[in-house]
Amino acid sequence: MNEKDGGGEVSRRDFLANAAMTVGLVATLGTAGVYGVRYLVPKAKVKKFVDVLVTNLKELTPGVAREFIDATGRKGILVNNNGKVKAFSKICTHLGCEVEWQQLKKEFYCPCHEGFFDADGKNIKGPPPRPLDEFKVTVKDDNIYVALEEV
Amino acid sequence: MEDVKKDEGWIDKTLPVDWDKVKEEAVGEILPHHMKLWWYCLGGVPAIMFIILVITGMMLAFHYVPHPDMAYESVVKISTQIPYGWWLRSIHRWSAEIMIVTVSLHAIRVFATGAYRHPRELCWMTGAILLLLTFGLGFTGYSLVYTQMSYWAMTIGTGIAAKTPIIGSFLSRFMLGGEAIGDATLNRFFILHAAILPSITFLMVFVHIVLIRLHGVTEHLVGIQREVIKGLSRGDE
Repeated sequence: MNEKDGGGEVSRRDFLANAAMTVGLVATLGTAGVYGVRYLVPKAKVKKFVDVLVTNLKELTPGVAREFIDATGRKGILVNNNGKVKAFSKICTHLGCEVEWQQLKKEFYCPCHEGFFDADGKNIKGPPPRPLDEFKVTVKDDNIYVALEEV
Repeated sequence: MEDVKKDEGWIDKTLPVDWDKVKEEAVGEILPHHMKLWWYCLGGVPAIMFIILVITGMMLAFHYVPHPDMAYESVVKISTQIPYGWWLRSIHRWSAEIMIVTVSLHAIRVFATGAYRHPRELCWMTGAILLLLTFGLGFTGYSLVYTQMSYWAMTIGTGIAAKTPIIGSFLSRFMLGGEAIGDATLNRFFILHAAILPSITFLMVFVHIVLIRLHGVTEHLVGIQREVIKGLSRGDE
């Protein structure tokens, strides 16, 4: 109520205090609001896959399996089951151990809890609840390409 | 403000509330000097934390899935994939920690200064219920993440409940939704954490605050003496 301040009702002290409070609140709540909206409406990430040259049919002869690692560090395994080339994730669908290819039995075996998958990745024995995750494989001019997730 | 009657606009007509009086009620209460000392303000901190927890909790519930197969995965997804999910989850988690610590300190302060005395018994009782509700919310929230730690916390928590005389086995079965931890347990903990306990807490906080405002805060000599020494006293003590 200082008349010298040009007759206004608000003193300089009050004005500055209120201004600081308002700026602070708007900045804080504004940031929180923007974060909140972006959290509630996340942009749908489209997974992109690229065909990566992994090996060729001269190396991957029938019955042979070969491991590979994708760009994110996840392990996969390529199997040539009598000319039929397939690629699976090495991660067992039960509790995440790594499966091994057993060439004689033509099965994937998870040693942690005695889980078995056939050459098509189907869970056939033991605790695994679902088949192994599969990658798309393309064979072109004897070269084997696996579709891996782009990062 | 001067005594000039303001022009009544549309808002004043449709919403006939005396805002000056509301402001006076909300922030104009004259408080004794000892309230300037920070440990007398520990009751307000958990109240603010509770508001923050309700808001962030609602946000988290948008992406959380209360199913044993999906719970941990959805929490990881919130923390790593959803934009600013880590931010909201951290705020929720740290607000919870701060709420538990400050509620406990508040209870100790009220006890140590004897502020629970007549006529404020009801304040103390609702406060005691709020303390238990806070612990209950912390326990159920911790279990929702569904890590190994959550699992064993559930096991121990329900095990303790089972040892209650007479109603123990009923309590344990009520919490577990069966004889052991399973699909039903996580659902129950989610409902308790996200709906039942917060609703009761909200009501209790309301009653607690109304009672405080009706009684006014306790007068103490502790703070006053200190302020007198500093020469900051109101001068009428």
